[in-house]
Amino acid sequence: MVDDLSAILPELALTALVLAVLTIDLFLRREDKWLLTPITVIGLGFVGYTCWTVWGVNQTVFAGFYRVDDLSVFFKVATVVIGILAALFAPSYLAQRKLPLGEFNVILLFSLSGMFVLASSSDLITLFIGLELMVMPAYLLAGFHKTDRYSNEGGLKYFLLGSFASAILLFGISWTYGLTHSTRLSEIGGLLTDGGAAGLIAIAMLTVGSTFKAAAVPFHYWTPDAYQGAPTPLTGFLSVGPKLGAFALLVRVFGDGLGLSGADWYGVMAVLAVLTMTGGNIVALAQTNVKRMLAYSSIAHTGYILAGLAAFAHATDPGVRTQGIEAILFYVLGYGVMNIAAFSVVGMLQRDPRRFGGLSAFAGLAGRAPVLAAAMAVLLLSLTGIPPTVGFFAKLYVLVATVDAGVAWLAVAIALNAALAAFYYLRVIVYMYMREPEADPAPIDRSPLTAFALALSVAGILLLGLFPDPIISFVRASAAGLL
Amino acid sequence: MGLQAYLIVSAMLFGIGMFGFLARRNAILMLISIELMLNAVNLSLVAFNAYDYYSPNDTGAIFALLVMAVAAAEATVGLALVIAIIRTRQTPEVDEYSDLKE
Repeated sequence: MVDDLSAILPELALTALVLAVLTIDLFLRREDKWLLTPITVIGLGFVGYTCWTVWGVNQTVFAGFYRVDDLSVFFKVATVVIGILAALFAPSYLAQRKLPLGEFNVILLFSLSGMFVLASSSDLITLFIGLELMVMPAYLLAGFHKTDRYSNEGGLKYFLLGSFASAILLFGISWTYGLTHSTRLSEIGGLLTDGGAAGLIAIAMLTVGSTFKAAAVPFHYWTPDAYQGAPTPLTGFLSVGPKLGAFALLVRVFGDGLGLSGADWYGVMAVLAVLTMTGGNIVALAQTNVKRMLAYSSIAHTGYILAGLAAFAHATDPGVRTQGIEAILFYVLGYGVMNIAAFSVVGMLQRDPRRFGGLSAFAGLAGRAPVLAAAMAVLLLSLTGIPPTVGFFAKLYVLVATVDAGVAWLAVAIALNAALAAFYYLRVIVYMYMREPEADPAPIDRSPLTAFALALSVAGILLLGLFPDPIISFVRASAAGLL
Repeated sequence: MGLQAYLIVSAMLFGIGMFGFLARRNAILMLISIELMLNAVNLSLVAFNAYDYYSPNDTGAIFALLVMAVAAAEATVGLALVIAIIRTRQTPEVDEYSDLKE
């Protein structure tokens, strides 16, 4: 047993880091602002270290509002990894546009703290507070370039539709509370069986609200605009950070809360998964702007992850059930690293702020910057799901989970969609290696920090693709905390 | 009169807010509609709490207070974004915000 404050050591460390960065930013002269990046990254490294102190604690603290279990530790570690990459990728892009680095770091860290709270919530109240703490900084990140009309538009659309979804989710939470007389996730399990028609409405609102945040079709309309408008490396964060949070929410509500009545909501999740992966992929095929294409492809990835949740719901054997959750965890982490890196490669081709990262910017990249082109090729192959990358194992994990759970048709849908997705991912590779560059090619950002972060992500993707065992055992141990 | 009356009012408020969000094309009015939806939620939370004979604690009322705080923060973020976009576009009409297309 640990006391309440030791159990939330990672949250305390992260909050202290936010305040430290906020304060230090005030005292730094303009030419010293770059110091904020190492402070943020090292601070996040320390936060990641504190996560290990609560590994294996597995207890509920603060009178049942907060749950520190291995599942939450996994989400927190993944959050830290994504946060470090976001903090490394953004500075050079922001500097070229004269955007404030200190504010970016603070807003990013606030969003990460929301993801921490979300991952650990065992009560609908904590869940809602964590969700809002995560998405409100995300709205600001989408609109971060405040003199840029595209960023304004992306931020406002993200905000309006996101708050709309929050209100719907909240109405669902309110009715859940009214019907079950409790806001504890462990006590809302009877919602479907005892709630009658009102219970169905409540659960429908919970589903709509949470899949809205995860950008599932048909609740994805905000995604392409928000992602295209936001400053590119920040889009990378938006496409993986809040998505990780949304899946933490889905796992908490549907795994912890409604897990035992999985057979009742399995159908909805399976249909949403298929709609999402197919819808995202088909629209992505038609895109010529790589940033928008990656935005639609991130919708498709949501579909693959939702398939893991459907597998969890359909399976009856406990071992197979956890496999669905394991697939979600593995996919969320692997996808997080590869997607944030892919977006920042697009950002590297936007050193000239007037360039928008169209497909033609990638033409002949292999001749102009062979290493960058190779890195992008690895990222795209990983997003497609080709070995020996982490993307392959992520897809394989979901496939195995769905087949073992007895929903083979879902596995077939995933395989078909992966083939569909290969077309538009590989098209970028074709442009990079087989087309002549434009007459006036876009200048490339060669800042060492961005290059370092890119090297780190690519190395991670390849290493985990070749030796996935450590992560798989980490994922297994974490998912065991749920059931 | 009882819990049901409050829930009907709350559902109506929520419906009006939802309709307003979907029908209005002015960013600020859409923001107001969202606030209306959140207030509908608050009404239902407080009503559920007042008529909850099973558990003596005031979970619903406390939740409503927290929702108010979140709604205030949300309005702040929203208005900041609206001001930023009005500076670059000179209009609050969302139909005019259509630069982001393929």
